[in-house]
Amino acid sequence: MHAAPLLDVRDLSVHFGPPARPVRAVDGISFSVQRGEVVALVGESGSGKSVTALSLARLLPEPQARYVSGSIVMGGVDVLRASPAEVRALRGSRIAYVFQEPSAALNPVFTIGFQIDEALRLHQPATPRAAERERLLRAVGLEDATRVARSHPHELSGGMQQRAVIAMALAGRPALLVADEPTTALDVTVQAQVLQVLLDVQRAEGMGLLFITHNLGLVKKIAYRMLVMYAGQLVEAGPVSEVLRAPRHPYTKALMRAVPRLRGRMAQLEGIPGTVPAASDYPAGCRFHPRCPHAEARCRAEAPAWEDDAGVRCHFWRTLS
Amino acid sequence: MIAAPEPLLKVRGLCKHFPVMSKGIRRRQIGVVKACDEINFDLMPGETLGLVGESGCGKTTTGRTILRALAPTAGEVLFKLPNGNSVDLATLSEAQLRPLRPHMQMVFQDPYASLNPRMTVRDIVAEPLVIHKMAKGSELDDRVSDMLKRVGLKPEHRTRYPHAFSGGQRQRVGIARALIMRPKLVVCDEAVSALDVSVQAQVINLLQDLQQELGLTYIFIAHDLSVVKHICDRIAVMYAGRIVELAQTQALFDKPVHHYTKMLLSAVPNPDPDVPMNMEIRGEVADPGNLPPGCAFSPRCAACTDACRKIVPQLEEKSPARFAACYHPDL
Repeated sequence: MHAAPLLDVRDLSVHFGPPARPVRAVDGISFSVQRGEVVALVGESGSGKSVTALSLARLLPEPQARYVSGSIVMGGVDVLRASPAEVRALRGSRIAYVFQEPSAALNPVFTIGFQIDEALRLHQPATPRAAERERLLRAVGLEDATRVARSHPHELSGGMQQRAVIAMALAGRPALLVADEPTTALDVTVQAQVLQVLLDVQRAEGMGLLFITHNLGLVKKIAYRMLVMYAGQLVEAGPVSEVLRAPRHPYTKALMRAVPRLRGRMAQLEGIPGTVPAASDYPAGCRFHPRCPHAEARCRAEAPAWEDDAGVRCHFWRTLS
Repeated sequence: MIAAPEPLLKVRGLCKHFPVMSKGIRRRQIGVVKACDEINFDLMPGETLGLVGESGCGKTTTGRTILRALAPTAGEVLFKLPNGNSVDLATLSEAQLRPLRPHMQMVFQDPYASLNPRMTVRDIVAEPLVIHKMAKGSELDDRVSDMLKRVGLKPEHRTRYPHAFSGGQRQRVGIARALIMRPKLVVCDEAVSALDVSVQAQVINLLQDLQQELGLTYIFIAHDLSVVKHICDRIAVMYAGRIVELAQTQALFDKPVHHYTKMLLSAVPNPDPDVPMNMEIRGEVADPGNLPPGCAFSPRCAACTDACRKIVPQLEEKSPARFAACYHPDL
């Protein structure tokens, strides 16, 4: 049937803090990314999306972070059961990251060229470095590659820095790129440019892309499939066009109504009452029920199961849609 | 017949320039950053004016200079006092300004940085009243409790410290602190940018409700155009220290006239499945310390001609209530 997916996450749970009273940052999530596919992972602060992203290459500090269950399979290797050396071999060459703040991802005392070379030395020792460095910088739209390579990070604008970070991530020719809020620190026009660069290189290299964001507008632009996280769990998943057109979970619906739009008129925005619950203190039953306008007795008592066919976690999604 | 209301605030030719100094022992001025340059606008009582633009366009400097958190390099800021007199905030001394401060307040972006972690919510919200000796004793406590209720917090939250609150609740504390003086003018500098969307919508609604109840006038500084659209009556778009377009909100979004506004609007991602995707973004944002001669947007503009590269276009009324600083506006 299908070829094995690029990334297959099954029932992943990541906890912090004392085992007696765990902080359940990620609590039983399953998803996969196919070769060349763009998947968006959406959620508010504290929903567990960044912990999920960091788990994929085991970048969380252990033993503070505990992978209490599940598997993360990439290229036939289960990251959670592999040796440190095996995991290190995956990092950069199989899975690479682009983070939110480019000025924090770059070392301020070395030139951009040096930092790209560092990645190339590690991952492509046989390739002629100068030519490959130039190719990477041009691929991310830094036409003035020679000057950029000689620059220190502080000499570049935020947008150019983020492009340089993307170039570094590409140096290992990763099969999967994880971009965790890569444009959140950038202005809208620069965001549009960097997003285009990400899509261009994703297509050119045929990479899988896991794009993590809180911005539903970006999801539509970049992804084919989307996953919505709330309080450490998936609450909805499906093709972007379907989820945005007819969201099934009350949380996704509320999120859509809370986003201010440029087009059309809205009298008042509808906020979602309350806040995202703390990961140490989830409510019983459905974790969204204290904020849900449709919550009933069953929602308070019984946690809804994940329905894989429908891609939703809600007792009443059928009657609500 | 009621006479046409007078503006609460008239800003005329407001400039804030920062000197660029050389390195070394003899620090000489080697340049100037025109963070805000030749800003002109009127603000009517009860109105919300949006100042939008990208990082470095001077929107925050403009807001701060109006409130005299920064001393202006040139220009006038005519503020109408409740007694009907008008004063030029730009020329007053600190001592002359102090009694006027209660009329103009600010809400800041980062609710984690703008609240003192060692003060209780009561002390934070009461501090402006204490400084201006406007209330004490039980009256002070009553006003704090009343204000907390208005912003959607509970009076029993008074004894807590900021760390015990979420981002949205902290921003409510910041709003309570600004509004307890019953100001006329409130400058909201990116007041909802740091919040998650679900909470952001709550705070936007709160700001709108309070405006109705208390008759506030807002200058709303933001980079997020879709938020600005929701709360503002008129919008001023800034680029490289100048206002490039000023119009009624709906008119601006329906048909932007300045080429920069068009580019900015096209870059905003929209989650509605039926809205088409955007146009191409050209070039990099202008460096305010090294502006090209003429129109600062000319290197990125598709409609640019020789005239644009020579003389800076002034903000002019291109059609009724519609101002743009452009030689080739798209009317």
